[in-house]
Amino acid sequence: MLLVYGWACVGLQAQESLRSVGDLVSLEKRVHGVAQKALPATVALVSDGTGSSGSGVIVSKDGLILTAAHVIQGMKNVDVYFPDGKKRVGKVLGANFSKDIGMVRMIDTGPWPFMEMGESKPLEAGDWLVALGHSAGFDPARTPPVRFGRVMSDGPGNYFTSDCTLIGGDSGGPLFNLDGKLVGINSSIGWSWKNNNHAGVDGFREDWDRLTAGETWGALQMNPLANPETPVLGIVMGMRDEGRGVRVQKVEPNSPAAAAGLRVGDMIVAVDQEPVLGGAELQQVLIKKEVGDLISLGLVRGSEKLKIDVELVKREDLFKIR
Amino acid sequence: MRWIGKSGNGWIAAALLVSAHAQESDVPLMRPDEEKVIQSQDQSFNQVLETTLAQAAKSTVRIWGKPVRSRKATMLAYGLVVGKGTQVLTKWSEIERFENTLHVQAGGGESFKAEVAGVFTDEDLVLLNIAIPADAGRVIKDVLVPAKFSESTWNYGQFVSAPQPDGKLGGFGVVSVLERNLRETDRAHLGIMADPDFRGKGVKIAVVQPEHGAAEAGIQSGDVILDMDGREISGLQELRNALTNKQPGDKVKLKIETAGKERSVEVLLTNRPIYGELSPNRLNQMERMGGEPNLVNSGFSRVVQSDMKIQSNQVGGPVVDLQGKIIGVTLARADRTKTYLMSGSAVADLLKGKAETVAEAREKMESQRQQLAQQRRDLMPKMRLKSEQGKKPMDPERARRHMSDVERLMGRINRELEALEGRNSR
Repeated sequence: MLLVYGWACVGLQAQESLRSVGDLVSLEKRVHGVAQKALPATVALVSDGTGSSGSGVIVSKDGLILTAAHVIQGMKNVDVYFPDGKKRVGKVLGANFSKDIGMVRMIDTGPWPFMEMGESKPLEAGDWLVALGHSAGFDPARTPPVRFGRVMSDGPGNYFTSDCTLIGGDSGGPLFNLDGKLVGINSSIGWSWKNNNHAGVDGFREDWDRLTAGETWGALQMNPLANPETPVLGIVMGMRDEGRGVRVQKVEPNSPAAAAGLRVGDMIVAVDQEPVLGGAELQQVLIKKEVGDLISLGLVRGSEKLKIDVELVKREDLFKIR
Repeated sequence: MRWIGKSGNGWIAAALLVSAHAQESDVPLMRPDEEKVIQSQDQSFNQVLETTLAQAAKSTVRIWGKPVRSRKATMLAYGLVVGKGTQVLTKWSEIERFENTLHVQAGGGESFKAEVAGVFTDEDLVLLNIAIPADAGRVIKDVLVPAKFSESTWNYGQFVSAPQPDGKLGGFGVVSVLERNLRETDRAHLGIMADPDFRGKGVKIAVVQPEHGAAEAGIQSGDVILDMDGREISGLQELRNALTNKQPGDKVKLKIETAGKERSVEVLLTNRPIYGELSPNRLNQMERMGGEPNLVNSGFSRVVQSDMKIQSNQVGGPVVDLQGKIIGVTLARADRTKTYLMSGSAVADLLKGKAETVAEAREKMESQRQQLAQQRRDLMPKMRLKSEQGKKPMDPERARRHMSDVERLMGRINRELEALEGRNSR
């Protein structure tokens, strides 16, 4: 059993499966299949007031649309354009700006073309992806451009980075895995064409009830350290660079660090068995984790070496009374 | 880092994390284990893909030219060997300035002089004649192999590659949008400019362009378009959509409201004039993020859009499918998301037509430049007057963007000048 399982795992890794042109041909076939199926469900969301335009994707027969929070910022209703030029109206529901995710519901009940939701947590570097979006705004002379790439880097938090190239107007547009399941929503870009950021679709599940109820919260903040939903331990790090770990200067009361028994003066020397030499390195490791992850800290306390497990929480939850 | 959601008049930009672009690594938060996975994936992907490029590479060449007063030649573009193996098709705007110093270089390094045989300005392509030395005869046949185009169905997501002359991969991408016409002058045109501040139902007309359909039909500024051929026009986007399905020469029935009274008029649609870079989107900084686009990157009459990542000086060569067949050529790197391609059948149709001489091509480009300048003189003062009436101060984001556009233009002019003076040899 174990052997078979291990073998299946290798088979799933994209980088292992490319040995011949035949492999490329089957990859191409799957990309085409996803693109063809996703086109009718990839809509442009246009503000009837300012004419500014983003994208979205329908995920249910009755017309629930997932998009980016910043696309629907400040709107009550939004014009929904289909790739064939048809226009309908959607009602803006909720948005979580910290995750840059938002929802719209078609006012007419449909049935509408839609794509199924997948999972974003299992994604890792090298996984193939197909992105769509109404680049540079809705253009009636063109279908939303199809783009192909793979996960470059997982995180920070619910976000991840791919080399599916995006530009203005693509925001809120969908990102699929090769099974045609929605795994992300287009959010922002960096300078390099390899740096395109997406919000993971799992973020919608976590916030589902608040979003469908029309609640709006959070802060649009791409700096991961300042994002209210960044995963944290609940400690203040010592500033002095000791070159061999991170000194705990303060433990926030009610934090997971406190609950796990971390103490002032402890030296964090490893995370999940990987050595950590300084504060910047620890931050970099933590940013790539997700809220709810259980991490194992290697500590030096006086002359003692010990290991403790800590569950990460959202930065904004640190100071809430629980 | 930029938020990419809104385009046109209102995308939100926020410079965060890093302000100096040059110092930002490709993907700032990438872990070493992720870098390893991506590198090995690139390696195996390219290795397999390159097995499909060998044949097409023999029809691929580099085009070199010498800037004035420079000793060093610059790599200008890629080219495709056509005809009997003595001609090369490449990108006109990239070689135009170096017309008298052109060299064509094959994959093994063999280099030949070349001169312009004919220009196709509409698609920004040019045909070069290769000067083949008398004693080269037989050798040439294996070095410059004329391309044979294969028919392709061009599906969404189809894999497309561009080889380097030595058989290495130049660029890879997928088909993003099927074939369409980007030529502005082939689009149906009413001859009005809309009032962007109008918030009511329909499209309020700010400017009526003389000598176009709307003016001939007696439509005046201040009129509101409510309906076209029975299709309700709720706003500007709807008017654009409705016009997309029409051709120049079509007649449309408009329902117009003037001072509370409705009437119906028939308007003859004309060809859209050239607006060039009037649209603010064209100079958007985002287009340059991730690589410099070609100077001429729009207006082609038959393009397939792809997401192929390719350098702007590697454009002009063949496009290859997974069977290794040549199915078209690369026309232009247009922005970080798109490279335009032209199908083999479109290229074949073009080559059957009449080419222009260099003098004719330059004359045509000059007259287009003049038309464009005239268009701007016609439209700009009216637009400016209008916005001054409202006395709205420019919002800071727009002003900043305007400044960066001007800087970009200056940069472009400087680069052009440097290339002309030969200071910028690569």
